[in-house]
Amino acid sequence: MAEAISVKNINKEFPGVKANQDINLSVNQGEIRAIVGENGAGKTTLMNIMYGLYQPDSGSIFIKGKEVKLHSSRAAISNGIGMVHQHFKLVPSFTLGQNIVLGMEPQRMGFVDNKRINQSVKEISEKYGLPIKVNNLARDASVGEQQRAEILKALYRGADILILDEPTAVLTDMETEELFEMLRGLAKQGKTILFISHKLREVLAVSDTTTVMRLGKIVGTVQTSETDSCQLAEMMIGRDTVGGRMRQNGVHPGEVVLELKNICVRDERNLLAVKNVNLQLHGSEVLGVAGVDGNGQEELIEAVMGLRPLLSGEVIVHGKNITHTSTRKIRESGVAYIPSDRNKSGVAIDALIWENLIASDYYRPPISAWLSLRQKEILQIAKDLIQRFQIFTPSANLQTGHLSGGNIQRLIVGRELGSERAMAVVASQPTRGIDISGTESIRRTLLEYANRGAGVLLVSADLDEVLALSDRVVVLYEGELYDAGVVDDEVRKRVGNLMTGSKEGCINDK
Amino acid sequence: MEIDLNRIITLSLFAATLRMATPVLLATLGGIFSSQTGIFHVGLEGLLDIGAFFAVVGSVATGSPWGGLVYAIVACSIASLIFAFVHLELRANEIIVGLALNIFATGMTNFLLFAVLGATGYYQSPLLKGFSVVQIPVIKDIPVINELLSGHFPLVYIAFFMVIVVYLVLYRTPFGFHIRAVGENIDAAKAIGINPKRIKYAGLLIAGVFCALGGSFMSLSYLNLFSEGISAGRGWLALAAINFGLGRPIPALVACLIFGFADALALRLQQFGLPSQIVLMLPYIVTFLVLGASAIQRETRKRNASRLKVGHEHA
Repeated sequence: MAEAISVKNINKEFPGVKANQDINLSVNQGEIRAIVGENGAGKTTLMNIMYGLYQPDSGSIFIKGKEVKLHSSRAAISNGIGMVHQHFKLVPSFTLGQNIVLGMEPQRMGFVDNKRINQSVKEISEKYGLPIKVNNLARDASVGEQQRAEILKALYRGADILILDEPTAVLTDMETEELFEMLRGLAKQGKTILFISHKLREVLAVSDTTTVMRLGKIVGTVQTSETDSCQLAEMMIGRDTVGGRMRQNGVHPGEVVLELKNICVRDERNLLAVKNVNLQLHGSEVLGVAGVDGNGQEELIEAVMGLRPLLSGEVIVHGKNITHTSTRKIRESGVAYIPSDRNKSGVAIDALIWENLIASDYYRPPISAWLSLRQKEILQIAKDLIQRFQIFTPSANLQTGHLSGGNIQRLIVGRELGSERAMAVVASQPTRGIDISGTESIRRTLLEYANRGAGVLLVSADLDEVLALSDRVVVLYEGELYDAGVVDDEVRKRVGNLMTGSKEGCINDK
Repeated sequence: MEIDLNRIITLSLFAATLRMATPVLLATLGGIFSSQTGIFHVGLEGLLDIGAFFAVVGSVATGSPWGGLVYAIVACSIASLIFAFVHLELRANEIIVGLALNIFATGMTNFLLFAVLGATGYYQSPLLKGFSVVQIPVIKDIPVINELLSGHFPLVYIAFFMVIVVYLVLYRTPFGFHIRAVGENIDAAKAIGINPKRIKYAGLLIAGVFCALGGSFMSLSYLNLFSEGISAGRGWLALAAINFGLGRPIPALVACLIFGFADALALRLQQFGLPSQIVLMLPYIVTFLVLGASAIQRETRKRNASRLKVGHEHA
């Protein structure tokens, strides 16, 4: 079959990250190609390059054998490439039909011709088997319908190659099934489809071929019919057992410091994001929570910290039930929290360093003296934390925003762990986007803290991190928690299978 | 004190309502364009001032109110382009730029009032030619209706006619679609190749032109004069009307008519010896009530909508 699109020797570097290295990829016309890989494997970067949103540092793109330069998404569109983003780009008060034709509206005497919109949208909707109600307002349409409108938007603009960025992330199982049916129909009519996914079950169900990416490189491309989920999972997360292990094995856990019982939490869309999670964190233990981003990690942690309503379940800290109390109560009962978004929830970025360092203790002695803050004590504490946690700054009187990411994170760790009161530490993506030395020091601090008897709940999408630090690993997949057991030579395989959804053994749908 | 309702609620009260609503309506229609591109335009008040002043200058210079209108349009367009440049290119906050424009407008018109027209406080002169009223051929002979609809100044008719034009432009033309797309979901607009900046420039420019019309109406109809602070909060009322209608022209028209009616009623009641300080509060109390009512209505609707969603969820 004829080649629809290919890329040769694509390289793309962001500050500190080689997002794409020597990528070669060729997709035939009428093919459904899945691109899979962990967070940060470089899938989205590659797709954005193919859609003209990023310019590669080097390398070339060919469409039907002819080299093209894609300086913008406009250029990509005129070359027959369409993209359906993970977050839909629809105008809420427009009808779906109007959204589909926006920017290319059929006109009559200077006015938008709604009749012809309906006609032509219906035409392509029927031709490609993507049913929508043309006159439905976008804001009233279901998620599935909005997605179909996005696909039609690309097709209306003459797309022959469709790129879908995690199209199933927002869909229910039913909608996912329907989407796959439609994608197969599109492929039969000669459209080429590339889709990004984490979920191997879906990849196996719909794709013809699967390309696996890891750490910015292509690991390999396989015929989907000739593989199974275990092979793909292994390609995705690597074959090595546990490299760079920082935690010694065989630590004896203490008593339970944090217990979650039957936790259920809803997300912003009001769907169940955390389903009946039970978990026990012991003292002296590092419990790793692995899983691809967006499988309920954020919702779970925020609910534990009292930042998001619990639908049901109980949170117990050191035998004390703290369910439905305030975040301050939860912290006072001995839980430290390192949030994943350090600039948004970890610090007040415009505040001074010392202000952030006392942000969790400002209201009580020795810092607070009724109506005033004790400057002398504060400076003492700040100096001490800055030194102990190696926050590189000339002064505690500097705006926090001037610090590097690693330093900000050390500031947060210092504030949370410096007083050594916490019995349980909830650390979410503690080293995301931080340089190597910063990562190293934060990991060491967490381990030290565990050695002193506290429990550390380490939530991270970085599997290597989880395996390097944890005693025991659990996996969140689609809101459910699975036990992957203690870290041993086989753990990587078990975690890989759990986090890609092949918990009941290897799947091969074809 | 006896007040005879029959003498207050008369046809001329309704005619006055249309007249009083006109400048607010014009500023509202203009503001709708900028608001639909996603800009909260607090500079309408200042633009009305600038329009009113340059209408006077133009009228004196050319000897015709229409010449005055052209001057006003040019002046307001320049002011709007400066606003657009500072907000869109230099990325200054729209509220701050709008407030600056208002303060600047007051200062500039006061200064130029003296520098150009040699007056302080206000300017009035036989050289100043205002618009004359339009008698509509057939309607002027129909009793009752004529008192209501005929014999208004041209800008009154233009203002009400423009409601339809604005509606059609926003909801029926590609340009209007692009304006609304930019205002509602700028990413959606960008994704299909619309240039949001260009659209915002256009929206601000149109707002300026409409304020020029509104300003000209204030200084060149009925009382032919310019006085300091002539817009007297009408730009703010326009903002309220836009907010009430959520940027849609027809509900905004309703709000303008309510404001116009309150204004006209206030004038009328003054003639009946009610203390003017109290009566003149009327338009603003009405504004308050109108905005409050619309906010409550919106909240209730939102709450109902979210209740609906919870009912339909599938966990």
